[in-house]
Amino acid sequence: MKKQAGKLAGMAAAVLSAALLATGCGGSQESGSAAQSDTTAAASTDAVSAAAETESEAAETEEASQEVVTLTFWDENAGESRTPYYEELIRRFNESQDHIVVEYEGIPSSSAKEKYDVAIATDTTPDIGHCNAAWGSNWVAQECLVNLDDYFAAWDGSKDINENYVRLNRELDPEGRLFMITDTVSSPLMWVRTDILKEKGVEIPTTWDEFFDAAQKLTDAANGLYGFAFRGDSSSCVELQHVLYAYSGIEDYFDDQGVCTINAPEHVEFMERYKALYNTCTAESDITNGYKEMVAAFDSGSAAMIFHNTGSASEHAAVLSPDQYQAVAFPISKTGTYSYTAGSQGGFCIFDTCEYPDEAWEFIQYMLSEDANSYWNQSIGQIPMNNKVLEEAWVDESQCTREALNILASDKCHLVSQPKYLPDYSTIMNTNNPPNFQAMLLDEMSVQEFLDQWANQMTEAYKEYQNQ
Amino acid sequence: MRKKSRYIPYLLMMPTLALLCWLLIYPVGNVFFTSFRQEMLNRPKQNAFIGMDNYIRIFSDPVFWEALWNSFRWVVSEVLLQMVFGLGLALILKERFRGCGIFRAILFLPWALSGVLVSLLWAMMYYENVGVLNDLLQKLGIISKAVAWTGNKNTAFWSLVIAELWRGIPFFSIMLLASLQTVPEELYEACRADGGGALARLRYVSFPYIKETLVLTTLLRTIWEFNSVDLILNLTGGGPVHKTTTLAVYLANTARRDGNFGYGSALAVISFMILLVLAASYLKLSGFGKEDSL
Amino acid sequence: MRSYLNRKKRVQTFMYLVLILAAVWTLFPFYWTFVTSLKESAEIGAKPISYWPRLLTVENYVQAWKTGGFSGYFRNSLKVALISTFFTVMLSAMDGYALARFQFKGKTFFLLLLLCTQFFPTAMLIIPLFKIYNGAHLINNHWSLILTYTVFHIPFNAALMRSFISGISPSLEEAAMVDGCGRFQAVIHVLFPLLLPGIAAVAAYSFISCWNEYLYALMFVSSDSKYTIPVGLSMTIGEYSINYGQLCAGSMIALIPIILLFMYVQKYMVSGLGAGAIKG
Repeated sequence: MKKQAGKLAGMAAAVLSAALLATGCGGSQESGSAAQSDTTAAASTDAVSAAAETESEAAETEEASQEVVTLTFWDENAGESRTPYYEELIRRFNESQDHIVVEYEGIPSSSAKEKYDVAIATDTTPDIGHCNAAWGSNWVAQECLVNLDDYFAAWDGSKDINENYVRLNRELDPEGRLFMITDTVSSPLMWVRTDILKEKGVEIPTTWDEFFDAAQKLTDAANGLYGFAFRGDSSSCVELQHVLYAYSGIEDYFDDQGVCTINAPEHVEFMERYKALYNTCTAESDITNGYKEMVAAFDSGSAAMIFHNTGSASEHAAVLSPDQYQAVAFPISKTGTYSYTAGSQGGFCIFDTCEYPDEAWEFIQYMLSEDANSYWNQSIGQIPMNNKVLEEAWVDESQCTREALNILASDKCHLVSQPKYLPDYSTIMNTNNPPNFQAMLLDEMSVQEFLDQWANQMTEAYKEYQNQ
Repeated sequence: MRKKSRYIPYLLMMPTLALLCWLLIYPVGNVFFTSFRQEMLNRPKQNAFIGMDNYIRIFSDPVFWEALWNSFRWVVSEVLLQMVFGLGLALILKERFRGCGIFRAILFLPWALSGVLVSLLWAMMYYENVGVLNDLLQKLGIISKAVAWTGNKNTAFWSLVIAELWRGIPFFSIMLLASLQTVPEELYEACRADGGGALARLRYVSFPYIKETLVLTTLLRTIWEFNSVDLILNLTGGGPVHKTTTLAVYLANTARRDGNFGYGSALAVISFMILLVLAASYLKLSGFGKEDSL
Repeated sequence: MRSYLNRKKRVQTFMYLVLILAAVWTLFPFYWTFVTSLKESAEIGAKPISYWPRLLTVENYVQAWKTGGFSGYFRNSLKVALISTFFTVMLSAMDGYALARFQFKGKTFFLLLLLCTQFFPTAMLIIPLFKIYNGAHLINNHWSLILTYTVFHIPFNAALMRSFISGISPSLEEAAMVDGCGRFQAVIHVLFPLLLPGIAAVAAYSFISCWNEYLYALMFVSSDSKYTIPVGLSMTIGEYSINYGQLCAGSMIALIPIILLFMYVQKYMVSGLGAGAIKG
């Protein structure tokens, strides 16, 4: 339907909208965009907030000469802490030119994957989507995205975009094509309650020995205070993977023979020490902790240290004052590096159902521009991907952003590539191994066995991938 | 009944049947169809017909058997406890006494909350160190050390049962209360006059009148509890070590999170079969739907 | 006589005790939702836990209603729930009447068919249902929700209606029909008043289920102006941020119509009407 409306002259579109209105199905998604794609800029910027309910208005104004393209954009993590900023940026974009109108549609994060899955299965995807870090390879494999290589190459601003994440996004495709552009990343860190550390006379740990030592010294279980809290839910292994490599300093996820290094002796050694923390220096319930439980433990002062990325900054800021906590680098590894694992963090992409990819790219380009990228990342407290933004003053004022960037800029920093391109990657990380992690904590499985199984699954998935 | 009334029941059911045909034949058929295919979102190119492979895999899948056992525990404890408490409350609430209106209104309230809130609310109650429950119980001196309600493998399951119970009892009370209203007061009097105690009144007077509703509510509750996932997914995600993974949770994780629709559909078909057999035999045993059951 | 009174008193004391316990157990989570909705965000996650806000604020309500968009969600939910309830009551009363008053071929089959609709987890039916609605141009339209809710709520309610209707003796309608009333008139004038408690129960059940349904409401609708309350509530839970205050405030707002509904419906359920006496 979109195609017709785009091609047909004004008269036909008017008839179409009138007919849709008459049959009472005017509220449907498709007819909404069909009718609106012919409105004038002025009328449709007003209509943005009123969404699809303005066909009558659209039908009246479509006689005006210029053709306006309406694009839908889905935000996969909608909510009060993000939506207003997206809406502001979209408003600015819609006002900055007169031939594209972007419409914002927010999806609650807990069900966003399912909503996208349904849309992909039924060819009803939005024009532009924002992709969560975990879904990239899935979408690439389903061939539902538009290749962005030519757009990116032809764009002046592309030189300012962080090269690392362009590379990681290309890794998602076996042929190295670019399907998504990252606008913002979160970086794994250690959050410490400096107030508790000070009270107990413990220094911020910089080596792993100090970390395990501190966890013990800080713990006062009788008073409900634990040195450390971890995640036990389906993201437990994602978090664990960062710190395993942060401890060992091993540089590659797969060795030359394509064997996964997750069960290296250094990792087994770490795991034994880590496991010993459970239920002595951590709360017993950590075994099923989700994000909300872990952050609640930290913010309430019942856990002094947690591992999490820059993403939780605003959550801490809402409850604690700046002198109570700090984001710091993981302790230095056995080989003297600051290591952790990194992979594509998703970003903007254009779906192949989009009739106007050129216009969609214009929007993405705008969102990655210095102004927009700066506004966005400052508002949500994340790390910007436009290098020009890094020089702005606010970046230096945000403690966790500065810390994360300092680590990245350090010559001791090493990023281990996560094999997110493996089709089974998220199944292995989120479904197969978290229950084993729990079993290991409960002594139903040995540390060696836990890591061996994890490594075997990765090695096999890697083999299958390479044979393709 | 008169002869011309023969077509009336079909006419009355027509709209419902039409809706069912329009909206359910294709979706249900599709689940059966997909269960014979490999259909994974992360390997779209390998989607193909694989015959019985999904089913064969299910029977050798240890998580399936554990989930089946958990489903059984979950359904039996939920339905039984909800029914007992629900019936008890309904019997009390049917009496006329001072404040009965207020109590009625209060006790039905949990039913009115959306799953989104109930899940988060109970998470807030169960937090080990910042949770209200531990704080309260410690202040009252009932426990001395904070309990890991959802993390300990011995308490996780029962913590979930209690949270679900909170939300489930009102449904039983309200339905049973409505049907208890149909019991004529004289029959109680007569039973009392014959020297029947409270139990006798329940057994011989109330029971025949509420039997239909009781059968219906327990059956539907069984089906719903079998398929209920929101609370479990939010509080424990099926852990620790699958201790709280029911069949429905396993299915949700397989199909919704991992995008493995083939295997998920096969699990759904198995659930369907289990429920079908369960429902058919339950209806037969209880004699539901027979005209002279009352 | 005296011992009888004593016993009665003891029974009553016991009854009140049970009810008070049950009320405390029921109300505490509500109390907690309410208290949380009045707290500032810094206090919600803080220790020691406060059982009454140290600093009372209605900011969460203002935020939820204005910027959180709950006024719109509220309207949408009301519309969807009311229309679905109307259809559910109508259709299930028709089915219930057919099942209770007539003997016909395929009755057991129809009953089982109704039950079968409940056997599948909703998540498995979403994609095919989506395709059907998409073909009918009902996606992002409240009618897709109304139809879905009606279809999934009819089975239980039809069976419920059936048992309510068969609890009322057919002799009354038959008498009316002998007196020259048509069947339809007999139903409206004789059966309907007696059936009110049943209708109240069905309507309450249906309204509440629609009011709280989340998954379909999210999947079949995709613009903020058309979302219902549960979807709005879930937006307070972001990937990295949970706005407990607003979630609780939104939930309290969502409770208002349900409480009003109970106050209204309760009247019918209490009245008893002695339907059974007529059955005799």
